[in-house]
Amino acid sequence: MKLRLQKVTKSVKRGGKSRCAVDNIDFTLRSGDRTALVACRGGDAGLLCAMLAGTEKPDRGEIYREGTVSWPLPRAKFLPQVIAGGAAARFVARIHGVDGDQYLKKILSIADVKKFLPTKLKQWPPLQRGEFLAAMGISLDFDFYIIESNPIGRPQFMENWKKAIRQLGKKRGFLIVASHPKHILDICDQVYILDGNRLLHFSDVEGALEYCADFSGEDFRVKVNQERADTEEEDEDAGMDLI
Amino acid sequence: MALELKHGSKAGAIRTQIDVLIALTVLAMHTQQGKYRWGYAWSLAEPLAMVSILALAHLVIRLISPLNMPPMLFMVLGCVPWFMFRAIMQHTFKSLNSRRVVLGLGHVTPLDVIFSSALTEFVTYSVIMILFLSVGVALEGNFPPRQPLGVIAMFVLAAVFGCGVGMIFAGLFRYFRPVEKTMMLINRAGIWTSGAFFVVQQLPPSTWPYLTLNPMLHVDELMRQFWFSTYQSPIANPLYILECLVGVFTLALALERKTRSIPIQ
Repeated sequence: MKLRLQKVTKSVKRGGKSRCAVDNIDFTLRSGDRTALVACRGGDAGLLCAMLAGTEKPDRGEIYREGTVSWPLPRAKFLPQVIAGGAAARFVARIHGVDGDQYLKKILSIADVKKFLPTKLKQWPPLQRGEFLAAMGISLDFDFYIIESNPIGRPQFMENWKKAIRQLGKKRGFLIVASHPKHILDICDQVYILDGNRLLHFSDVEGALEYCADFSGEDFRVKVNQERADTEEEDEDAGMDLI
Repeated sequence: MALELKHGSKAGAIRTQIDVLIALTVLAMHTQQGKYRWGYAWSLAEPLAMVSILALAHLVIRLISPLNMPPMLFMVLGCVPWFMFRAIMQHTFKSLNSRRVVLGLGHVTPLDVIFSSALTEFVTYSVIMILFLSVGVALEGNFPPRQPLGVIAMFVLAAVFGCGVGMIFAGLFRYFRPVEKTMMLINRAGIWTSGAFFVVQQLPPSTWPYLTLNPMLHVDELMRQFWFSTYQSPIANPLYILECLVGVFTLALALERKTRSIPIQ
């Protein structure tokens, strides 16, 4: 299965002015690909995610989707805030042809938010709402997951989230947006950098790090190696795997 | 392990379509008047109050109780289809703007949003129709209707017609915003020319050729004809309604296709 952008160009309007957000880009995500997308120098990663998810159309070029694609996680902008959590989950279940009860059960196994389900989403505490919305996305078996940002949640939820992502990464393709390649060193095996309106592909994270070092003037490789060593030490202490 | 999706494959396209429509309709019911306590109940209350006031006024004044038709049922059979047509037209027209966020879900299309909006209003007005007809029959008798299927068919046609006209305005609106004002004009003029408060026999025959151009007049006339055994409309033509529907939907779908690439604002 493949998710592919071919020679895609898209302009956006900001403050009354039109600017080319992506210019003639090619992008491919295959099943089992663990890909990061780093935006720098004004690159609009959100727009690229929206095009991949099918909510934005390109001005020029083609988007080929084989298989199902998630909405940009962890948020779920399509959900009105005036409905209760339970109703929201049942709506998403119905749309995707999944049993509502099973779906709720699955969500609750990832995020412990049962007592909020009858409450309107806008009245949920932000942390629990974030957990719930993120859990809604990864509880469904898409072929490709678009993860626009990392969710914020309580430690138990974060552990469940990491576990779920680790599992998905074995069979499904995913794209994670990161602010810098150093954040996804241990998660991804290839990186796309959206530099302004150009998209560059790096088949390894090291190459992406090098590119970022070149334009920022700071050699992140040294920092990253140090951070990586620190993280490994911490993880050994905590006995926890990284995703 | 995540839950397997049943939708998305071409094989189950019709099942998917139905599920998506139901999901969007239920969501619309949840969100309509969602900021208020009792939410959807207010959506029912608004038209209920409007038709009640009109029916009550009619009962009190008894201005027209034409051709042996009881006043309450006469009003209900004329007003509710018209109000439903109007509500569906307005909601369909606004749906893409007000509910565009649901397009963020991969396989929800603009047409799903449009049709689910129409379906939501149809459900609301069906409940209202059943309520008023029950009250009307309890007060005035006249049951069973002469042709129940005919009454149902006309009610559904009014809804479908409202959806088509709303889609045309939604399409035109993407090119030319002041078209919204034209819709208001149709609203105002329509209520006095659609037979919501009268039957065509109460008007001079010289006006018939002009009034009968309005397909909603045919719908209201036929609603009464199919309910009351005492009334036979001199002008109503079901074929004309169907012809108008074909024309309206051809134009509506063509416009939807044409405007699909224009961003919704």
